[in-house]
Amino acid sequence: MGVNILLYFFSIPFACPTGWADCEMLGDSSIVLKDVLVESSRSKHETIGLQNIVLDSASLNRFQSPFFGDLLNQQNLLFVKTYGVGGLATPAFRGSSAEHTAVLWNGFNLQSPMNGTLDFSLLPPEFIGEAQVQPGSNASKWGSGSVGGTIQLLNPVRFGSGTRAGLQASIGSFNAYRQFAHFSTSQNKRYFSVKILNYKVLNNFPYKNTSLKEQPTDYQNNAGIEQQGILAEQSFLLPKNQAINLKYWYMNSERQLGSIIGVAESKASQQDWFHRIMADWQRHGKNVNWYLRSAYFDERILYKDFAYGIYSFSRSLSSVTEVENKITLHKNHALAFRINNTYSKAVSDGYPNFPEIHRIGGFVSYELLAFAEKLQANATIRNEWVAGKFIPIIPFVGLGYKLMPALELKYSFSRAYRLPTFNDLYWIPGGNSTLLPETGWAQEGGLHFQKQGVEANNLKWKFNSSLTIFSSLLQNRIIWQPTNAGYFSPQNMQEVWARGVEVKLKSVIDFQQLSLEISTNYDFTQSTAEKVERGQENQLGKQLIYIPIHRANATIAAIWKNYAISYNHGFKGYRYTVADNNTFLPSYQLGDVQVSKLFVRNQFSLKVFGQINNLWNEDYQVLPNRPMPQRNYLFGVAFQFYQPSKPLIK
Amino acid sequence: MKKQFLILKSTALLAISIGFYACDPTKVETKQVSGSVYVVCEGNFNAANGAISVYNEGSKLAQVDIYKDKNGVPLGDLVQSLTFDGDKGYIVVNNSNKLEIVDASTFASKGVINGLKLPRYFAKVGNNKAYVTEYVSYLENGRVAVIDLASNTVSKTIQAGYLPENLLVHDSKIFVSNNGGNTISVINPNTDAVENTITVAGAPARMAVDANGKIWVLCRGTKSYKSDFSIDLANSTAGALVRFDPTTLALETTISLANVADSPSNLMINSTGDKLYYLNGAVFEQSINAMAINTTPLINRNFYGLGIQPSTGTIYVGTFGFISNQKLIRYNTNGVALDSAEVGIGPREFVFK
Repeated sequence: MGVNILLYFFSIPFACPTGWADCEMLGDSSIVLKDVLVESSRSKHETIGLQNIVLDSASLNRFQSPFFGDLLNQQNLLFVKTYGVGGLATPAFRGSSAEHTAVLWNGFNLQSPMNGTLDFSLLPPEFIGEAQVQPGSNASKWGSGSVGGTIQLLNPVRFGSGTRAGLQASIGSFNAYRQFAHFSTSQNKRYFSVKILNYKVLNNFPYKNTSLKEQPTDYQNNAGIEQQGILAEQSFLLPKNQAINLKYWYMNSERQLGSIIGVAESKASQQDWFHRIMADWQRHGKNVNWYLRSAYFDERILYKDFAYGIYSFSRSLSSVTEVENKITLHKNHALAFRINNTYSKAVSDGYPNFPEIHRIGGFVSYELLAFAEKLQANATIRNEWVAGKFIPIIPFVGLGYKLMPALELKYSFSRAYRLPTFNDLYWIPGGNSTLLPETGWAQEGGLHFQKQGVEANNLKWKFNSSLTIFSSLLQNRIIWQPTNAGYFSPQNMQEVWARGVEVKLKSVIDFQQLSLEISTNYDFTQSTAEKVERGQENQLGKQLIYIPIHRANATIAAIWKNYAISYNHGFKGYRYTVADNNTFLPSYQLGDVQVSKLFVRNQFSLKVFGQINNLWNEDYQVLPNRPMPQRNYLFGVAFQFYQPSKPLIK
Repeated sequence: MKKQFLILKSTALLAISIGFYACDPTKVETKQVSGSVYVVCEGNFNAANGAISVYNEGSKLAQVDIYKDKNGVPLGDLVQSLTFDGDKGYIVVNNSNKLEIVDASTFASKGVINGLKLPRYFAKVGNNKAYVTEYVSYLENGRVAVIDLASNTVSKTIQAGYLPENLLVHDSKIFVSNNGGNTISVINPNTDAVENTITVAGAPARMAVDANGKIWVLCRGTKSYKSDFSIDLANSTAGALVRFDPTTLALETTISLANVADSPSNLMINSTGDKLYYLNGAVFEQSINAMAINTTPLINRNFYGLGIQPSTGTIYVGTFGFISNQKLIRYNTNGVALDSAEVGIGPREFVFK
């Protein structure tokens, strides 16, 4: 028991000593409850035929990053466009854009009804218990927006996990101060957790001013950020295998929008604040599981630009209710039904009224295990009723076939769609209320190899690799284009063909007190405009802007006794900055390193860590003229107390 | 166990080999073009990729970004206007808050005046003296900066209306169109005082002097919207061509456009001063003597920029787009397309030297 408990103990928020899935192991006492372990994750069976890259707390905490978007970018799981440090960060899966990346918080879509995106600078990694990165369209399960891929942000609940309390503080370059406190307690039938975050940074880093001939070193100004947040969770286990989960997330972020090289000094700032509440009830029967979930989001943005005298406020309210039923017909056949009701409303200076949208969607999904469980198949069909009309039928077919015990062939074919946003429909001037949803077809195929073993000398090893090829065509893509009236208006115009190859390799070795992990990945992404508006023919067949064709990454992490060292090296290929591919930003490579030491005494532990970001001092830009910092440092301590739960009735 | 380390080693090797695979496209050398047609290419907002393109009417070749090619650095964000004065060119770069001074033939940088607030247009108003309109901000009235061209400094500012846009020098007076309102401020360049204010129509923008010495101002019209997001026609005003007398400052004619929803732009006049041209989703030609608006487009296509070659009357237009290089297209006076050339992003104005 002791070892496992210790492993889990270290895993949040400390780096997991084994660096692998052992972090998921719980102490003996928890295993008793394994059958009724309540996972907020709904996605386990919903990724047949697709990749599912799980970022457990160990991989989320290997490097300290204030923003989840930076972590994803660092690990090269997708490309995140960041408008400067802590500025707007929008993800792009497989050559698509932010509107095409569904982000689900415990199953609820966080994409804004106003602009269809989610700012990844407003996601503190500390508030994410587990993330699942799922490239590829899965719109028949997750609805509008799951075109390029889906990211699941989960806060798993573990009953019987004892009491844990911790404090973490770090100090970094450019006046960065971050404090994080967490407390959770769970005996057998109740779980309570609260996490509190406070972050402040000035971001007054030096950069080379490329707009002037002499390229003088200037200091970034107007780029400070302050964030505060709280995440509270409460769960109950009820008789007859029922459970109730409640979660509340509040964030307040105030940031200055940093100056852009060659543009007048910025005097703009933005405040984002939101309340997100969700509740669910689950009942796990012998063959039938019921789920009832509900969420309410209230999100506000206040944008101020003192240079222009612009003061703009917008607020969106969303309410989601969902019922799901999973039936095991036979050990090899399962059915799932889901009905989702979503209502969103917005208030903005850009709209003269309060636009609202009401959507009722649902799917039927069938799962099959066949050929001695070598074949796993899923077929799903979705439809949605939006503002009085049905969208086209959205099908999905996913297959997984084990060619050998260690080798699986995956294939999926699906249709994707994205509904126009409030801005697309109603923005003054230009909003076009006659827009159709974007729709597309996607398919992918891949080989996944996974093998592990234990040698006679008790050396444990594990090797994972995958190769995926994908192709997708998105039609009716909404593009804002000039109109006769002299302003821009969106039209269902463009056609984009995205295709590419993804390779991933990961090796882990655990031997005595040493744990070693090496992982690497490479992505080749070609995303080209296949249909463009009149007069813009020079964009035809060209790579979409800001989408790197080549991306690669390598991580090496070693843990020996209580010492840990991790190094990450990322390569991002050149990105075109204009649609006719006339200009580009050069490729760049970033190295980050973290060293830590853990001190343990009884129920207390203390981790001391130091981190160097951009170790090789690369002078780079992710997006044109947005300065990025060169080498910078971070130092922190994390203190934790852990008390296992009392032994349970076996 | 050796096998397992082999796996580890190969993973590491692949990682290293990928790390070194970096191959950026090679930059294409730009061809030098000399010409007498300059295109003000706004660039994309916040991308600092505005440019001045130059076009040769003989060879029909264009060079996309002469400033950057010459000086090695980008011109800035939202290039608004270009005005030549002798051997110098004055480029207003709106969202870089600067006035860039260049050599009129080579475009080598000769100086810069920083610290302007959302500047729009430049006009020489006297010996070593120029005006630059400044929006300042959307919350308050704008101003006109008085520039000392000998020292390249702002010597003082003159209070103007809301969003002062275009400048016209005529008859020893400086006319300033206040785009956020419905007035023209009239400034005496000797005293730098606003001596008169003329009320025209909503959102006055560009101005031009016709063959009779009268001033035409293109008003874009004001728009408001209903609760169902459609345009509120009852509370909006159509764009209009307004003529006034620069001496008496009396309003003479207001010719409204047919549709209240229309927002015309880019007023130009031919060298004989008898034909006005403007954009309204298409290119329109309007005789200065017509009493009603001509609703038949001369060129039925939507453009962003418009210019009229003073000696030939050739119509220059710039295509509408901000994420890639655009085209300059030339049409003869009958609206028949002649040829085209690639220019910078957002070509908004043409300057003929």
